[in-house]
Amino acid sequence: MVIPTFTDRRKKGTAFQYEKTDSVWETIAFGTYPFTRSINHRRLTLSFEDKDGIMHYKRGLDGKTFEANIAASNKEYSVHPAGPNHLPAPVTDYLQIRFDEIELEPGCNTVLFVTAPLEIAITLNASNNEVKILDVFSFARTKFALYGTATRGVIVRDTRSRVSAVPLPVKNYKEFLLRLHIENKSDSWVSLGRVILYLKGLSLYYDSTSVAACADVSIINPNSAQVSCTDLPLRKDMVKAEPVFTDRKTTAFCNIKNGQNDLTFVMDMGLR
Amino acid sequence: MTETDTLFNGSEIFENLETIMNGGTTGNSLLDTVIFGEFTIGNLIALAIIIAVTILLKKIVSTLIRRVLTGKVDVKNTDGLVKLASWVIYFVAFLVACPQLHIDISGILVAGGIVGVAIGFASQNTLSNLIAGILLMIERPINVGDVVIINETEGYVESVSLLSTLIKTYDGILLRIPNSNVFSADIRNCVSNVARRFSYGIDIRYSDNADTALKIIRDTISRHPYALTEPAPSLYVDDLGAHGIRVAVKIWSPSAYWWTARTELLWQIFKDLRKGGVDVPFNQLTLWYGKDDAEKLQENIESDKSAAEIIGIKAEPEGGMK
Repeated sequence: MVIPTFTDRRKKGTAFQYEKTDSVWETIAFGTYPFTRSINHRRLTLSFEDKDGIMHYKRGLDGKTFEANIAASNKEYSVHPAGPNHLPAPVTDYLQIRFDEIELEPGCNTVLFVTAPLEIAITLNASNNEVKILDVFSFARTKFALYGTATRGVIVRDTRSRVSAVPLPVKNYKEFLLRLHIENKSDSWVSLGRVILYLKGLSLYYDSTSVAACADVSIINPNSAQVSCTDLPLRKDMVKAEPVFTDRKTTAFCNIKNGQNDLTFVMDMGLR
Repeated sequence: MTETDTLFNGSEIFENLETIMNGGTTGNSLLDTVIFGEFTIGNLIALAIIIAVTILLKKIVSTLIRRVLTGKVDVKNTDGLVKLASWVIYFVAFLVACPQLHIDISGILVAGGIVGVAIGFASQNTLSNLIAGILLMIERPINVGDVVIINETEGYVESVSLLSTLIKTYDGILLRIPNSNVFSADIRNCVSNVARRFSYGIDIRYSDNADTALKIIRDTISRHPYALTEPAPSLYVDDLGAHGIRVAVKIWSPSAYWWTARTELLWQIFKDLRKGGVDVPFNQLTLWYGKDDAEKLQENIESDKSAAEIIGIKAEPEGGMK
């Protein structure tokens, strides 16, 4: 098996250099590959077959398959890490990460690490650089929750994580590591048991071992905090993932107006 | 003092204007100068003022309507309201301008009054629909695309116009409901909140362990993506019925996906319960007899008596029970 060579996407326009030969890989490895490269990774099988001149894409995971027919001159596909807002349907753009409550003293300025579910997107690039999201899959289980009340709240993708002051080991391709820079700007002790991110502001970075992202949590009072995704790599040699979005079905999210900008979510209905 | 001085002299201007507006002569030779027929320079000035005020008023009213209704009412309907308001202003301006044109409007007013009464009676419903439509657009209990229940009608809102609301029922039939009916009806909007709850009542046998059943159902719900973790699902034994134990299951789901969750989960719960050895009860009735009654019944069954005789009814002569 050939290990792909990492290159900086911002400099050379592609994250990986690949072998231009037919191959079946036993790892996913984010990057751009020819249709001839199949993936057979744990429960995942992914392949492109030429059927009478039409490329037939087939992906299997946990007994479920997804198929598509493609007519494209550019015989390449890309594998991207994506935020968990696509599966099983684009329900919400908010991710709630719950963890064991932490008591934060007034003026506290600390860094915590949590993990969050990861999705993997297969995209096609046209010759005019138009990107088509062909498929999105995940090894993580999807659950949703309501943050706040049914009238004022928002639907969030829900996950529970370990929490640590040092980087946690992550299950590669299943979850990503999130670095939270937390600042308690209030004058009282605060119990923090969850953070909610606006996923369209999430910047994922990856290397051969993991996918990671960073966010700032600014606690305003014991019931409110402002969570902002920051566009920074966890480690210097990490490559930035292309943002992958699809349209969302539901639109009634009143809380978005409380955000300062598109990258921010204001948790004003409790922090625990 | 010249004629021009008189025309523009302080309070006299307003007196002259008032006289001109009433179609009279001011006594001012310049204003009373005839241009053609009975039409004077005073009438011309008054007409110019009326036109200017009309245009200004129309602009103010249309701006106000747009400002108030933008975001609350469909643009198409806002345009319609602006046009209606404009025509009302034009009509009033025409009535005001009639004395300047030396048109006798008393006949028009009398005829207009009669026609107005007739139209008023005829358009009573239309007017109430119109007002209800405007109020619906401002209050916005329903929006296009919402799943609603209006009285007995369930379906998707296709449009909310000034006079009526179109509902597409689940079986694809388009239903037009006058806005006055919609406004006075009990409206249930199923998707106005981001989440909603649905429930099941699941019966299990008395021979089954209800705790096991609750655990299986809870596990099944926890695996379904659209069953929200918060608010947590509520499961409990609700009733000890005649035929089985009733387990109540209440689940919250995103409003846009509640139907998917509701339909998928019920069957999955049933399958998982069966897999776990818990089954739904068949309707059954256990009859208890006293000892004497049981013996008597056994004797009667073994005898050659008809069924009617056993239960104490006089046997029918022919074709009776045997």
